[in-house]
Formats: sequence, C-alpha cells, structure tokens
Amino acid sequence: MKKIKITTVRECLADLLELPGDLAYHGCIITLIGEREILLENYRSILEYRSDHLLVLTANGRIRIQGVSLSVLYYTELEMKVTGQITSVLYEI
Amino acid sequence: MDSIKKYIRGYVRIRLESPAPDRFFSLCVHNRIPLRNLTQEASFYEMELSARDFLRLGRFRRKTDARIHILSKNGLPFFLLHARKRKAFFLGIFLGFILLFVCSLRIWDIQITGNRYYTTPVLLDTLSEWDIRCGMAKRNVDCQKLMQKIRQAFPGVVWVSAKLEGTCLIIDIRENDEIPQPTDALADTLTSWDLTAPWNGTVVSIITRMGMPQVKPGDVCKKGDILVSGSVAILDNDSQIQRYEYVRADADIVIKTQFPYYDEFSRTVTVKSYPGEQESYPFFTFFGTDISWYHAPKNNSEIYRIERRLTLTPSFYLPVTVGKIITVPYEKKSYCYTPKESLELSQKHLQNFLKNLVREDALILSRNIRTRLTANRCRSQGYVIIQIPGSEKTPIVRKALPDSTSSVSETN
Repeated sequence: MKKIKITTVRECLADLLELPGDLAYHGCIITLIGEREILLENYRSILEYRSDHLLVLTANGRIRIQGVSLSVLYYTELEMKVTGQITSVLYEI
Repeated sequence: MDSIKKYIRGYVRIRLESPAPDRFFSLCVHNRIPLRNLTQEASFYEMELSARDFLRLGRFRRKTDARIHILSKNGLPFFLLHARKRKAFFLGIFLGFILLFVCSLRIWDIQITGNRYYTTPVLLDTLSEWDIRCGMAKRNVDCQKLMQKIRQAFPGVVWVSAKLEGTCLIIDIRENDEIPQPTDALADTLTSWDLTAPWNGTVVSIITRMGMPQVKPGDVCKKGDILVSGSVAILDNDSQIQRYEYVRADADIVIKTQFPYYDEFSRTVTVKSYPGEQESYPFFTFFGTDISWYHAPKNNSEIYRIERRLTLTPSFYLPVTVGKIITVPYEKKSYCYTPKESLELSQKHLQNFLKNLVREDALILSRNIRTRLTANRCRSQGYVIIQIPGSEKTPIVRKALPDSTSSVSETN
C-alpha cells in the first residue's frame, strides 16, 4: 500500500515537472534497430545469457530478449548492445 | 576510432567456464570492466577485455569459481613485446620518422593555379632562375618577396598569393584580362611619322585623321610609298608654305593587293605503323633519381612516361614519384598520297596560309591557284587578291623650307 502511494506520488511529480520517463521511473531504454540490433540502457545486470535468449534485470522487472545467434557486442555499466536475429522482446514484471 | 583505441591499449580474448557466469559479468561491469564481443558456446563464454582489466580478474575468478583461458592476445603492447628482439625493425621505424622530418623541412612540389596567359612551365622556369625549385629548404622561401618579384616580372599579373602548405608551395595568380603588349618602339621614340604602303597594290579607301593624304582611292601604290604624310604644310596669306608642322600621321587605309602563293611537298611520306605490343615498366623516383628496370628499346619506339607524386597528407608531398614508362614500338613505312589525298593536303596548306595571312578585318577577293601533281610531288602556285587594311609608320624626312626672299624678289 505504501509502495503504491510512493509510486503514485513519484508519477505525479514526474508528470508535473515533465521529467523523462527513464529518470523518473528508472525505466529501461530499449532501442531496436530492425531485428538485427538492440541497444539497452538503464539496466542492472545480465541474469542469464544463452545464444538463443538473454535475460536482463532492470529496476522494474526483467526483460527477456529471444532470438537466434545472439551475441553481446559490448556490455558496460551504462549500456549494452546485442546483435543477432531478434525474434521477441518480453517484459516479465 | 574505438577499434584503434582498443588496438593501442591491447586486448585479450578469454574463455570463461563458471557455474555462475551472470555473477561474473555483474562483477566485471560493476567494477567498470567493459566486456566486448561476448558470445556463448556450449557451456562456456568467450569475451574480449583490455589487457589492463584482465589483470583485475583474479578476485572475481575466485568469487565465482571460474576458469579462465586466454585464447588470444592482440594489440600494440603485445606486438611490441613480440617484436622487442627485432632491433632492425625499430631502427627502421625510427629512421623512417627522421626521414619524414627531414622531408618536411623542404619543398617537394610547386603548384601554380589561376594562370592562363603565363603558362606553368614559363613560371616554373622563372622561379628556378630565382632559385625557387623543388628540394629547396622551406626556410629559404620568402613568400612576400616572391609575390613582389612575380608581380614585377609578369606585368599581366594583377594579384598573386604565395603560401607554403606542408611541403608544397602554392602560388595563386590572377591575371589581367588584357595582357599589356610590348609597346611600339618606333611610337615611343618618334614624335612624328608618315604612313607608308606595306605592300604593292591599289588604295581602296582612305580615311585620314591626322596628316596630309598623298593618295586617293583608286591610286596605285608601291611598297614604301607615302600614303599619308606627317609633314603638314602651313600656308601664309599668299598660299606660300610658311613652315611645316610634323605630326603623327593617322589614317584607316585599305589596300587591294596581290599575294603570291607557292607550296610544294613530296607525295611520298614516311608514316608510322604499330605492329608490336606496348610494354610497360613501373618506376619510382627517389630524391630525383629514377629507379627502374626500364631499358631503352633497340628498335624505334614511342616512349611515354606517366608519373604521380606520392603524398602523405594532401599537402605533405614526398620526394617520391611512382609511375610507369610505356614503350610502343613502331615501324617506319613509306607511303605515297593518292591524288585525292594530295589535293586535300594541298587545300589544307592553302587554308593554313590564308589563316596566317588574313586578319579578321581582311577580305579575300579572289584566288588564282593551280595545283599540279607529278609522280612524286604536288605543287601549288598562284596568287591571292586580298583587300586588307594596313599601313606602316616611317620616320619623317624633314623638308627644307622654300627660300622666301628669292620668291619675293621673283614676284617683284
């Protein structure tokens, strides 16, 4: 109940101040370039990585990227770029 | 850019076998160790990381109970480590840099732009007379002085800029649309002159602006005859010549004249045929010395040379030229023009003659030229009647004044 209240207050404040979503709700930024590349920002860590799927932990849940021959081009504290044949991106909240 | 940085810093490709690879990745990333080209192969992972970061992996390896294998070591630090025994290699690099430094202190190309009337070879020859040439030290070039000299030596140049860019001297020129022509020496020295006929002929028209006309349209004149006299007689009240005023005679005179024409050429000429195949020899010039396995052909050959100067950057010209020498062998054969070809060639010669003879304001009235062909020769002979404006300036022969006292006594 308390968490919901805080979230609501935060959302109200963010709307009032017109803050971008990634700053206000710690939202993960996902940039998809066709079905060959995906750029992820604002995440916490990789939970699981196989060549056919990648599970990424974010502040608001997990994101599952499924595909074929997935490889992580670079993985830093700020962003990660995944290449391969991406078939789906799922939010597991 | 990123890959260059990666190469300079050096990187290793490793294989990771761990029961908790995700923890290993998290530890790396939270300790600011970026991972690149991360791939999964069966039960292990492969990734690239910088050589410096690799040395920090020990703690994470212990924490995640991981086994790490180095697959490859790449980059400049590893290359230098491998090549540390090759002293000649490093010496070569060092000498190369010294050579480049020495080359950068000299001029290896002179570019001239914007010139139309004064051709580039003429300008380059003049520059070399002033000791401005390829290979000279840059510090000896005084651009300000050079610009001044160019302006003085070439009166048609209205604006000039000289600058050094890299190892290249760039001279930009703007020329006057009307290049000053050398002035008539006679006009400068004389204060007065007559106009004389430059050819034998008949005067067609004469419009005098200054001086006394001596002929009228229809008069026949010979070469050297005075057409307009610069001596103007001043008469007194008795219509006697009081004195002469000497002026610069000026008039538009058109003369109808006849030019003889004679042209003779052999109908048998030597022509080239190219039976063989051309050969190409690559070469390079180093500090002005040609290095090539080209040898002068024994038989008759046309030789072409195509060359290109090497540059390190667009303005850093090197004293190295690469190119190729092409030799095209040919044979000389004797060929006899057919009558038709001979006549065509004869006509071409005539056209060239008329082109040289006739100015834009001249008019060809008629031409009477006969061409005769013999077994071996083609001969054209005749004359061209032409109406052409022109006159020549001739110094005045001063006239003596008539004796006034004697004339008075005679009248008395």
